[in-house]
Amino acid sequence: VVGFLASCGKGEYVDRLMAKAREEWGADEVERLRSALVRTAEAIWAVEAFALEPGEGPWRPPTRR
Amino acid sequence: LEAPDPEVNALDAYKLGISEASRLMREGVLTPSGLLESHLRRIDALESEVRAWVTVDREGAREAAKRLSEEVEEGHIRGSLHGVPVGIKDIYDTVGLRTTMGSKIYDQFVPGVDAETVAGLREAGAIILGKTETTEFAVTDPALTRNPWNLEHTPGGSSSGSAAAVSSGMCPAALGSQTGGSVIRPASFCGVVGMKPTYDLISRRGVYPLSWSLDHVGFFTRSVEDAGMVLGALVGDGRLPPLEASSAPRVGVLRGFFEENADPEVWEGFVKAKGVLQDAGAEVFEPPLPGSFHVVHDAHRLIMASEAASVHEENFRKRARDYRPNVRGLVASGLMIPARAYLRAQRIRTVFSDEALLAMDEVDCLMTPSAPTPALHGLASTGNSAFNVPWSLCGFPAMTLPSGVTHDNLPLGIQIIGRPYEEHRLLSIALWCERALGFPKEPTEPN
Repeated sequence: VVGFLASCGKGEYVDRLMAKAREEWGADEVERLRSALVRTAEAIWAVEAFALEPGEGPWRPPTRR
Repeated sequence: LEAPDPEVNALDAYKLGISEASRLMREGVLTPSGLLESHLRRIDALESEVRAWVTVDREGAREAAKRLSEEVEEGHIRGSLHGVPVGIKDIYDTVGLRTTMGSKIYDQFVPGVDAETVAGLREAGAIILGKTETTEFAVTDPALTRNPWNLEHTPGGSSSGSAAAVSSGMCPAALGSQTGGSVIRPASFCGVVGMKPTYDLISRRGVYPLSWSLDHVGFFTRSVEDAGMVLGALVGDGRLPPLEASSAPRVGVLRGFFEENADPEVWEGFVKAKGVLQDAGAEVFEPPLPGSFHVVHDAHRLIMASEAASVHEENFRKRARDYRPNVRGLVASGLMIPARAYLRAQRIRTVFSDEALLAMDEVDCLMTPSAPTPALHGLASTGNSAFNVPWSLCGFPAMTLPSGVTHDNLPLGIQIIGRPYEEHRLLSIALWCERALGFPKEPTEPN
């Protein structure tokens, strides 16, 4: 099962997030922070594209044997 | 306060590791005050160039050393670190001692209580020597610290000052922290031993968070034996069995991503170290990388950015301009991550942890180079944490050992990863490897 956003391309998703960021932080600041924002947008897309089973829940700290 | 004993001066006690200094103190050859003065002189000689310290607490350290010296005379030894000066990364709370997080926002913050780890070190007899430089909020905007092996190179980060201070003999041990690669990478860049125990083994109370579910307490020493002593103090003296070298280990060498992303000289050095270990009797296997490995860095990024955004949300709304660019970028991007993506990242973490444990089925430990590059030239970047991030994500214990040097005489390291809560086993393997590799343990002379 892949995530909701994986149906759009990576470039399209990055553009979408950058547009949202410009609304939030302004164009100048987004330009200054571009590499961090692009890196995060790409990571969101990659994580959405990874297939997971419903039983694979969020991580918990390892337990002692 | 008393002047240091001239005989102790002659010993150049700053060159000693913890175990040797402790033995000499028990034998009455060296006093905690003498050991401290030797390190203070070393700091006086080097600090203007290395810049490892935010604060050196001379008065507090001398008072503690005097008390501890008197206790030795009375036959009382508090614990495994009795009289040992220790540096503390400046994101750990230290009672009465300014704790800045490397940020102008906390420039004048003085905690009223020690972090639990710091309190534990004091209980074990350690002298809190001072606070070491950190990148701002333990992210990647560089600190002022320089690499003692070559002052024109970065010491790595975020625990920059701790790594440089131990490497140059300003203290024999220092606390750091790791969320991505902030202990293993600087330790490797500075040619010292670094350890990040299993996630949650050591209390993070009183340590300023970067990312709650990824932050690990870690530390630096110049030998594996000393790392065992520090870990022993952190988990509680007496809870860690005495350390002995393992038999020749079965080592799982990870290639693929690591070979493809390592500088040629790093990989060459790694293969050479692997050969030395094999010649000494280690069995080497090459398990495949877990199936989810290709997405672990993305999952890590989302978890770290989301949690950092939550940590900093209030300060960020009021004082965004007081953050340096890399923290600002991390927090701003973290505020844009949907909850669902954060949860998917945490779910990927589960998958990777299970797969990483399976990859260790037939071996005693996994091994990779400690960083893709040696210490980079210049201070603009603290280097790349990509080789350390997977083990911060799954929370497994990891160590780095110095294994050789580049053609330019910069240290290289091997990273060894163990199973959760098997720190003692990991230390035993590391001790075996350290003896086989034979890297010098003396402080480096800055140049």
